[in-house]
Amino acid sequence: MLQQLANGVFAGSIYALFAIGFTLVFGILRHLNLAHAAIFTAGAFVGIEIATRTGMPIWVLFPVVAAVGALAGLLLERVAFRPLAGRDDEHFAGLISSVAFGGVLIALIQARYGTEPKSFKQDYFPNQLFEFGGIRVTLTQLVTLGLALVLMLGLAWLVSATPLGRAMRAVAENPTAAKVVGVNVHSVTAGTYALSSALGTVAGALLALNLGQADRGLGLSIELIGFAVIILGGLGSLWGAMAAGIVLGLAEALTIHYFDSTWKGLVPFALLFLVLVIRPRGLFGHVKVREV
Amino acid sequence: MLVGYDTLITNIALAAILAYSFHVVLMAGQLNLGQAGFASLGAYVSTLIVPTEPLFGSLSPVLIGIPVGAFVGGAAAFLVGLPVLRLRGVFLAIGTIAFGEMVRVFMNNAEWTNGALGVRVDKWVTVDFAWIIVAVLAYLFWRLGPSRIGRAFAAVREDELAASSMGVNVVRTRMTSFVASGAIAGVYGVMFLYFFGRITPTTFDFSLTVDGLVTAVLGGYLVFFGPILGAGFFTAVPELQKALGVEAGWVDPFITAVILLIVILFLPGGLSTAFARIRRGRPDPGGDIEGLEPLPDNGTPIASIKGLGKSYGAVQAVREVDLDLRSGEILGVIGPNGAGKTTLVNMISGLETPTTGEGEVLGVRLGATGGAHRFAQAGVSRTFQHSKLFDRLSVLDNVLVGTHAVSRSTYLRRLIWLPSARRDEKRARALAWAQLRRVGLADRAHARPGSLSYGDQRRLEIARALASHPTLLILDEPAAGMNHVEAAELAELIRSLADDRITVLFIEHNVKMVLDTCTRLVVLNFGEVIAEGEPRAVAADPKVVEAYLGGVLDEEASENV
Amino acid sequence: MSESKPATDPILSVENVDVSYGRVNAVRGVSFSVPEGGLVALVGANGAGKSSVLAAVSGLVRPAAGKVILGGRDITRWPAHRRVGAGLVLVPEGRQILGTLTVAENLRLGAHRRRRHAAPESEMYELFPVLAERRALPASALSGGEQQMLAIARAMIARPKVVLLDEPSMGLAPKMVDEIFTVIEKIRASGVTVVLVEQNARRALSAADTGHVLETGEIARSGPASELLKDPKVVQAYLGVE
Repeated sequence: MLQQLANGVFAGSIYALFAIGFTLVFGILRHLNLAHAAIFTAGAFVGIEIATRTGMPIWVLFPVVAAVGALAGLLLERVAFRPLAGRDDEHFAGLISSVAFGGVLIALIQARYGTEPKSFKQDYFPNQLFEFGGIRVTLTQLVTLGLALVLMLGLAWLVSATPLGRAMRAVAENPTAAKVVGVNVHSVTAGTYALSSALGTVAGALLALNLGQADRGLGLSIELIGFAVIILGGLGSLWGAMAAGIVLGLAEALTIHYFDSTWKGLVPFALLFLVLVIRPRGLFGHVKVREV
Repeated sequence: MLVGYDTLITNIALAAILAYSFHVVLMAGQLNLGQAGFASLGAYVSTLIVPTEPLFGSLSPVLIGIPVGAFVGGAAAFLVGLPVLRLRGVFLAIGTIAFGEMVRVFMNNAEWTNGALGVRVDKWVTVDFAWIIVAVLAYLFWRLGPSRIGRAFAAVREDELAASSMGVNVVRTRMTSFVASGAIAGVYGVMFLYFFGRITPTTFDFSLTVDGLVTAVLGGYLVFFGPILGAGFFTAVPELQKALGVEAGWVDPFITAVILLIVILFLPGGLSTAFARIRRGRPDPGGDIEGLEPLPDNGTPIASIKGLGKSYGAVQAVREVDLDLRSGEILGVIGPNGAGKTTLVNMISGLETPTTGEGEVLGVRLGATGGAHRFAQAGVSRTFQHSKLFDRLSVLDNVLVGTHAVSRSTYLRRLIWLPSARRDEKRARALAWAQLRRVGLADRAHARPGSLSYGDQRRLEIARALASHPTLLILDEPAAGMNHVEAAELAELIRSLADDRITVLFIEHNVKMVLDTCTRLVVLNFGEVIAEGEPRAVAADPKVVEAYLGGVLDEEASENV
Repeated sequence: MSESKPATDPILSVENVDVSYGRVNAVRGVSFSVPEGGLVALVGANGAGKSSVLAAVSGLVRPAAGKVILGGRDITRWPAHRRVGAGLVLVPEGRQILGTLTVAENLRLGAHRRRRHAAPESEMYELFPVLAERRALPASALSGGEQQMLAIARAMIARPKVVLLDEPSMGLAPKMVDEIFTVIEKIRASGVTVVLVEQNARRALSAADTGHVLETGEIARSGPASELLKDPKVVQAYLGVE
């Protein structure tokens, strides 16, 4: 039981890491970026390739993966979102253009890596086991949890306490007012995408590290879970997404414990559906980046 | 010629059916993405009901499957819609996606669906059969476009507030499009099942939803055959590549995605944009309009309000307003910015609920449930301070939406070409044209609102409001942005409306125009009525001069008055 | 491009500016200039194009034609944030304060683009004591007048060279309007150049040196503010009397 709860927390931390990038873009720019799952998948493949080719240690690998993600995010914003700015159907068109961008990305992943799953080398990262009061934990899981926590807290700090974060919140609330006070809305927008995508690629690489491998469908299932997380947490709320990610991981673990692993898939969507119907602002929607 | 292409051509038909289930919600501006769930339910339930043998020895058993799929999909959409349609935009999209996923997981775990292994049936769907269904759908949508409900869909998509002010029941319209979408998705599920002969729960997953959405968007929702265009395109591109000898697995999805990106960036209306432009506009038929209810005689009380107040949190926008309106009056409402004028008329037209006080307008109680369309149907019509025209509809179609409250539904009768439907549509058009002539816009009937000058846009809004044959017409700053000549013409128009026994309540900043036009004047300041009565007397009231004109040049102002 | 000009030249000039939204021409051929340290008022009825002129000057919209010159430099094509950096700051219509941010955060945002020039926050709290008491509150908790004070403080913290005030008295109680105009006098006294757009023509013209009356997107009358105050034609334009 405790073991399963622990596993739930580890899974939940990846959900949360995926979802905060998602919710960051929505909260600040009101774009539902459906390419985020493809960016996540790309992060997994790029992480595996770089690790396999260079053998670089893990604490170098993740910054590199994040940098690649940031570049992808800049490109995404430039190609799929900026040209739509100011159009009547901006938000709807952005949905479709991000699907298209994601499609391009997945096709390119297929072109480079083929259709077979790719794996980390067996000995890339030591898979040590630890025991804490009867709970067995791998080193990978500890790294995952630690990195996820650091990144999430770092992001929360960035948004709440730095000039960039203040500018981001200004853009989130009122782009015109932000312009008036001298915020460069273009660069804040691009920066938000870079940040979000960097988090997405790191989350992808982390999941691949946990699974030992990656395939093209990696993003699809987590995209749906990501929807659940950001709604449960309250769209646009960073703390909410973090909490909801963990809650969801735990809920899945409990379902497996009490029912059957095949019903696990129902949990996020049943929760999501209930929350939407009963409390559309989410369970933890208090630290809102933006009222939606 | 088509031998060997059966599967391809049937695939196009199937993709078109799926795309129609998105088309119908996109027409109404609703982001329903639960089609995978409705299709799954339709398909699985039909395996329980549809016989395995041909009907009467030769007919395809899918003939039973189609209505079963449509009913199951539609009923499920209705049940899901009850809670979910309170949501909008992204929330609606995510909520419906969640529903689709719940269905998938459920089918995967239920006994009767045979779980992940799926169900096998005989293949009963042929090319001809698939295309007959597509043809039926295309027909249904062809007849929908220029019908009353078709216009209601477009109005809800463009602007819900304006639509409900024109008498469109927004809740019901959204639900109608939602149920239609579920029914078509159900039909798609059945068609898929009996064409491929096998389904598993993952047949109907999220990627199916994305495919359908993308096909519908690529085809465009502005013309009725958009889904067929989109489906043809998406199905044909990979085939073309094969014919050209491109075999690499990634090229096909790559090219498809790139084309989708290009279309959405540069061709917002999808492939059908090219066809939507060449719709010919019919000329003004002229003629009188019969069968309109006579307006009440002058002096009949039409609204009575006591102690009306509205607060937003700590801000009291309107407080303790008493107001009576009699038929044939022109009531001017003036006051400085932020005095609560718009809030007051929003309450009178049913867009906002008062926090205190009570009142009745044309028999409808203020704050009653049911929304603004009930006020519109009772005879209240209005324009907005910031014009809320339906930008993607023509000038004439904008005004036609205005006839919603005084016309009957024509869609079902149009399907079987009943002459009475034709008559009703003709009457609605005549009514619309008459309003365009009234405001002097008949020569711009087929233009887009966005191409009109600002003053003309204001007049179009008035024409649209008049098309509902209102007893009470509310105008929120109709002269804003007009020059003197236009404002004078507008004043003339308003007086002529009063001659036609329409009661007018208007908010205006142009004091001269108000004084020239209205029969009674109310002045609001900080949410309260500070003066009321005969216009010139009220305007000379020092309190009013101080409050409204900011004490501007009081000597000259009083000379002018 | 930025050759040095004699000090008597205007710090800001607007030359033949057109502004259009779609096919609607909101402003046609508007020209005026503002001497350094001056206070110029643009008055006129609702919809006369006053705010559109300020939007073009501040960079919120790009004019369809014409030029905006700041301190001798053509800034017509500069984005809004660059103009703020150069010391041209707008206090927008409807205040546009950021309600979810605290008062202090709003002020810090005002210094965002001019960190080197910016005044210390404490200076703004001295100038606007009411803000000091409420510095930790979300700005949405302020009253309308206080929000207007915050919007002005947010502009002033950047130590602008030119400040553009768009309808600062809109929707405020008369007493609050008095306070706002007192603040405008103070700003002016500190040497900052002011362009004031107002519907409240008498107040605006009483405070200004020079006035321009806008009517349907064009300047209908210009002159020393004291003369415009007495000109009956101004009343006509203003009230829409023919």
